[in-house]
Amino acid sequence: MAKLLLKNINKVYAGGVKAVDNFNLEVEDREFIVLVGPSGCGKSTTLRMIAGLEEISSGELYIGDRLVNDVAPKDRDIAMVFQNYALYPHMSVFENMAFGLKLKKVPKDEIEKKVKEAAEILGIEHLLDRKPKALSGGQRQRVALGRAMVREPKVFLMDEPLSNLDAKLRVQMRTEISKLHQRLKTTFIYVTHDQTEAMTMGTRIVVMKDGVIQQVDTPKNLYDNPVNMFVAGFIGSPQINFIDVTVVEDEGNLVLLMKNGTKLKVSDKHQRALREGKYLNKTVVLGIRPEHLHDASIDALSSNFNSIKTKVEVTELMGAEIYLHVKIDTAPSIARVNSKTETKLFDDVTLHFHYDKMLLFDKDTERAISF
Amino acid sequence: MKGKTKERVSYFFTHLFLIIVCLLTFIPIWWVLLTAFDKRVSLVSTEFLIYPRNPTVDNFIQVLSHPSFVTWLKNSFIFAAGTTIFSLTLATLSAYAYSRFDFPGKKAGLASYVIYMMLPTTAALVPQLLIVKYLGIKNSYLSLILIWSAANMAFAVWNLKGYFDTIPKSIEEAAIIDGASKFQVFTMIMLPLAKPALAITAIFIFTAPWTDYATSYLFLTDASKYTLAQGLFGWAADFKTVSWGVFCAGSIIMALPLTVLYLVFQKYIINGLTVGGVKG
Repeated sequence: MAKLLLKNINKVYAGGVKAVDNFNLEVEDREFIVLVGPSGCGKSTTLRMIAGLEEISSGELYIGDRLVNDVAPKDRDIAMVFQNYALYPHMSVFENMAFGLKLKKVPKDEIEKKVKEAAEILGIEHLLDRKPKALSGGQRQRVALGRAMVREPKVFLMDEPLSNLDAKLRVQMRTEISKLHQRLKTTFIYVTHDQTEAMTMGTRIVVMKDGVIQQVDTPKNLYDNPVNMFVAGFIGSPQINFIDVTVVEDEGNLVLLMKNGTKLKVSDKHQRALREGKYLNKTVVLGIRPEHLHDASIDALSSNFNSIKTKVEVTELMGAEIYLHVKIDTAPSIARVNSKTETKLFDDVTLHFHYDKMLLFDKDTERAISF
Repeated sequence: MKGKTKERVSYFFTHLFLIIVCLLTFIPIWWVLLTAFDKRVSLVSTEFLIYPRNPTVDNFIQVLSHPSFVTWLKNSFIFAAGTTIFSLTLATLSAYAYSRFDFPGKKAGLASYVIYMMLPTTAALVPQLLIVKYLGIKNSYLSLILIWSAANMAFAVWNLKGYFDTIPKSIEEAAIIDGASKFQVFTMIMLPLAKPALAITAIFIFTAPWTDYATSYLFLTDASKYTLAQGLFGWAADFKTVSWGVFCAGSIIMALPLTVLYLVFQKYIINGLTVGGVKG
């Protein structure tokens, strides 16, 4: 169990490629931190620097109160689970799990006890004599988790541990890892490119892009109050809809004018923010999440809402809900509505959405216009 | 239906071709076996036999009871095993370094091996002879072990490097996090995983000195250091008196250790050991 402090961490590769740029993060003890971002955003590099597999170009890394920049991985009190499991193919499951303890010269009976305990928690006691090749993907991942568990590390590092599993198993293992975190009461740092994993597992999420932290926040805050268009677009599935609108004045109030002439009202808070930011007569980006668009035919809103008329271009039935692909102005958008709707392909549809569900972004800086 | 017939015809001809090639390969071996186990005298007999007409093991007895046979066998074994151990040790370390570490001259080093492989072995003979003389190790086991090791290094390094390259780095990293030192990673993880490649490379290296004639003929003048190939040829070189049956029996005895080696290592050669460690 340990706090983790990353202070002005940079990673520059030979040739000047900056993989991680001024990374600052304080991880509390027992937190489940998820690093998320698209490929090449530096999330894995950051994790590998914490593990000690990658040298830190500059900055300070503390595990507990100890500066560990120059400490060997084995002395950092961490354990890591790799994307491709990285089990030792020539060793049995037991030997795989016991390897670290054996190197530490832990007495044999203690090794056996620890391995058996971990195996029991993970439900792999019956597989201890098997070689990795005789295991399924899910079982291999459990062994990899077990190998990390027996070392009782202060920090668990996981590098996209579920991305090689099929969809169903991934969901199952997701819950199991969350349970494991609750059970072990240890700090977890988890890297993924899958925003669903990040949202469901993390106590806090670090969104990264091009080596730079975009936002560190709880899943809910990240979803409700993204600091910029990248975060808003990355978190949430289906992706948030972005529509270019112009801020104009209408009878003393600021409203958003769409290209088709529709005027959208904004909340008082947004009014203030837009005035303070001097956005009058400027183009801003309106972000509205698909689930906040309501099909007026079955789910009309009664107050504080805007209304848009459009036509359904594609429908995707997901079971309990249906995705209506529409164009809002010229922007391809998705509305996630209840599947009870009678709206069909090519139908005209009226979509409602609350003022306070609208997100506004500066067109140039892509930063949220916050209030 | 038409496609199926075409498939069958192509299947038939492919297999016919393969059978013919197999037979062509097998006939000389069968011929040697026949000559060794038959009382015939001539190897160049025009008479084609399917099985020995007068089966006998006399030829083998004669070879095995030759006063120098055991010495030749022992020498061949020392040369081959010495070369294998020496060059495999160096090549494994070298290949691992080439596969995993970045250092100045890495590419040039690897390229120089390829260039070395392109040179005919004979081009090196005179310099090698001079070096051996200069070092004062003429007629010693060491001299030829060094020469054969040098000749096999290029192949061995490339072959092993190729295999090390296929072992995912994450397995090593997992071991490092588990607390293994660099040396432990090499001995406890990489070497056991490289068993198939080590086996193949060992067989190739072992075969070279075991079957070589020219090098030992040039370098060895002391009859007590003669290899099996050298000894047998020296014995058979006298065409008037040699018994081809005996010569063939000698050849079979010589080929036996290689066959056994292959059979022993076969499981490693066929088994892909890394299967299952990382995602498949």
